[in-house]
Amino acid sequence: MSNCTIRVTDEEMRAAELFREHQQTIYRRTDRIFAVLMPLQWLAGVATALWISPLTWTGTTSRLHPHLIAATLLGGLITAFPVALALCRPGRLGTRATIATGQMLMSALLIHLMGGRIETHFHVFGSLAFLAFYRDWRVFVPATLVVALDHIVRGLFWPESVFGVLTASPWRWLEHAGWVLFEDTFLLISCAQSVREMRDIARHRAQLEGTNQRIEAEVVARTAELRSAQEENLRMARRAGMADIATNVLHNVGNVLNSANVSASIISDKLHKSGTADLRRATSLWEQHLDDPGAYVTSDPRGKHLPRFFIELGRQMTANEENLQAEVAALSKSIGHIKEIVAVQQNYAGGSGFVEEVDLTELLDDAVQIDAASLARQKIEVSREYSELPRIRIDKQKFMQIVVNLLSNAKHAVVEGPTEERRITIRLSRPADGRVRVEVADNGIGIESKNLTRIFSQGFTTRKEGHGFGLHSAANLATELGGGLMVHSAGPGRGATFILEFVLKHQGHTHDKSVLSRTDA
Amino acid sequence: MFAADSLRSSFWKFKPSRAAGWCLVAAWLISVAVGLKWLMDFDMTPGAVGSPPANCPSAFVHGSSDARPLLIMFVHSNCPCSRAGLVELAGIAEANRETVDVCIYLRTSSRTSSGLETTSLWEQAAAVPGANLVSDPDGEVASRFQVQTSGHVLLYGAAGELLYSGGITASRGHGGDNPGRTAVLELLAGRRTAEPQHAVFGCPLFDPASPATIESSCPAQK
Repeated sequence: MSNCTIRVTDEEMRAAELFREHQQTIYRRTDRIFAVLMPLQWLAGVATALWISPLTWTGTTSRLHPHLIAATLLGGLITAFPVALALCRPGRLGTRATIATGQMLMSALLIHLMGGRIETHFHVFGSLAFLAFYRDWRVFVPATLVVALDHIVRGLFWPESVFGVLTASPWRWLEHAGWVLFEDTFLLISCAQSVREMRDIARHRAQLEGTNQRIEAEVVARTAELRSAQEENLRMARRAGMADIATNVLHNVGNVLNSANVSASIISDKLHKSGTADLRRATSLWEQHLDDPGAYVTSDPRGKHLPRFFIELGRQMTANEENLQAEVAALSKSIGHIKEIVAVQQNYAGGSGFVEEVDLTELLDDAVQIDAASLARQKIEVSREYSELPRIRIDKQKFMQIVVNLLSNAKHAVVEGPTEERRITIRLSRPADGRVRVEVADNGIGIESKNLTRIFSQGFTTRKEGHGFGLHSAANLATELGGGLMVHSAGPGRGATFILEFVLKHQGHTHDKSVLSRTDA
Repeated sequence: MFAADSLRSSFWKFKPSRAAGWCLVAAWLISVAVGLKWLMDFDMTPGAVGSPPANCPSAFVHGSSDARPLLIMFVHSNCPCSRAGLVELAGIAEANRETVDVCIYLRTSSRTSSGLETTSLWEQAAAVPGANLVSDPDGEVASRFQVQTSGHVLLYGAAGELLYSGGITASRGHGGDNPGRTAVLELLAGRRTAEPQHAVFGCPLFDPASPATIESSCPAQK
């Protein structure tokens, strides 16, 4: 409530300010009009006097007619002061009042020079109409007073100079002043209406400005909220992207760990059944008959079996050893595989934002490598078509997140796709306009055309286990790389191609542009 | 150059105090009032009325039984103030076309009379209904009638007696109702008037060095 009151008061103050500005503009503009108009009417008066009564005569000699002198000097005096004020002090009430007075004095002079012709009185009414340009009732006060005073004085002492007749009633000035007041009435009504409209305009402008300011403030606040939300989304998307990679890594490591676990179980089982206990029992028996081992082996019923037992045990242990060596090799291989996966992950585990010179083909290979086990298990064929590119400067973490995400997306698409021949193609090329293009194409389930426009929207996904962050995050990252992410699909069941394009920032050595193709099954 | 710029700048930035401003306005108004007063004085100052003869010189009298009153106006051919008088005369002549003879003597200069017919005052005089327009080089006729100011009107009765002498405007160049015109109209209507004379407003017909004198009889009327 308090804020609302303050806002209304502010708007009223602003409306008053705008009204004053508008009024001042009109005052100054009208001052300028009179600064031009008054000299022109003065020149017109001089020209008229020059035409009607240029000379006065005494017999055969002539001199300038006093009417011409009056039109020039008196008219100039009447004109000069208001015009000077209009130029030096525009917009002042005093200037307006002086102009109104001067304009009416000019009317009086012209009426006199024209011999009190009634037609010249129209100058009074025309001048009042011009004064109405000010939209200020106050200018009519001096104007009307000057007209009335002029008609009173001249009507009393020299009626023919103003009324055109010598026998006019001493009260005839009232009729003339009455007509002036008659016009004043309409002009004052017009001025009041104009001022009212100006106030309305000012109020509307103030309201509009207030509304605009509130909208701008709202927009700023909403923009800040949106930016904050976008940043939060970006962080979430990055975390989701990193989680995708981590999931892939853990998944792959988990798969390898399964193999290692199997190998370890086999080793444990083999060790458990290695015959060591039998050997220990046999050697114990042997120790008991060390004083006469020959008799024991030849005469004792159990001793007779001992040599054969040793022979069989040795054969069995040899076989076990070979199996154990194979399993240890497999275990070692699995551990090596885990080490490799972790090493690749460590390579991209650092924070993004660091631009460095990289070979994109290596990054693409690493991206495939991260998911290699899963791809192999799903029997997905990965084809690579790389154009020869120079090393470029890029934020490799962002690039990897995008590609890993696209590969993961493609993997799911081909797994759910209609064909048994699962294939993902990675293309690296450089279009002619100095950009780099990475395409990840698959022959998977494809994308419905209605989904093409919103596939990069946050939260949009067609997979049950999807969270809708991956492609949104990839698109954001592509923008951060100074490029963009696009998608093409011929429709459901016809695969899809995701295209990452960005500007080639740094160009090193360029080799031939032959396409290097490689296919991993 | 610097000084001129500085002066110009000072002029535009000149900001008088409130009292000085009112003084300026007062000075301006007083100056204008003085100017208007000077102008009114000029227009209201009558010219010399001279001493017209009480009886029309014989040369201007018909002497016939159907003789009519004679209304004579003397006009300086270049006097702009007399336009108003000619307008008034036209009104009188129009109203009394059947009862009065009107004669206008246009005072010209013998040196510059050629091309007189092209002046606007001549055209205006020629347009007065029924008027006999006569060029009066060097104001010879005017001097015979001893009138000295442009716009002077003399009304002689049918018997040649002077009925009215003076102007028919109230001031220089200002037409409209006035005592002189009223007096002439009254006399032409056959009524007596209390004011058979009136001031004349117009340019002097003669140079100060050449006063009007009656040297010969009037020329014959038309």
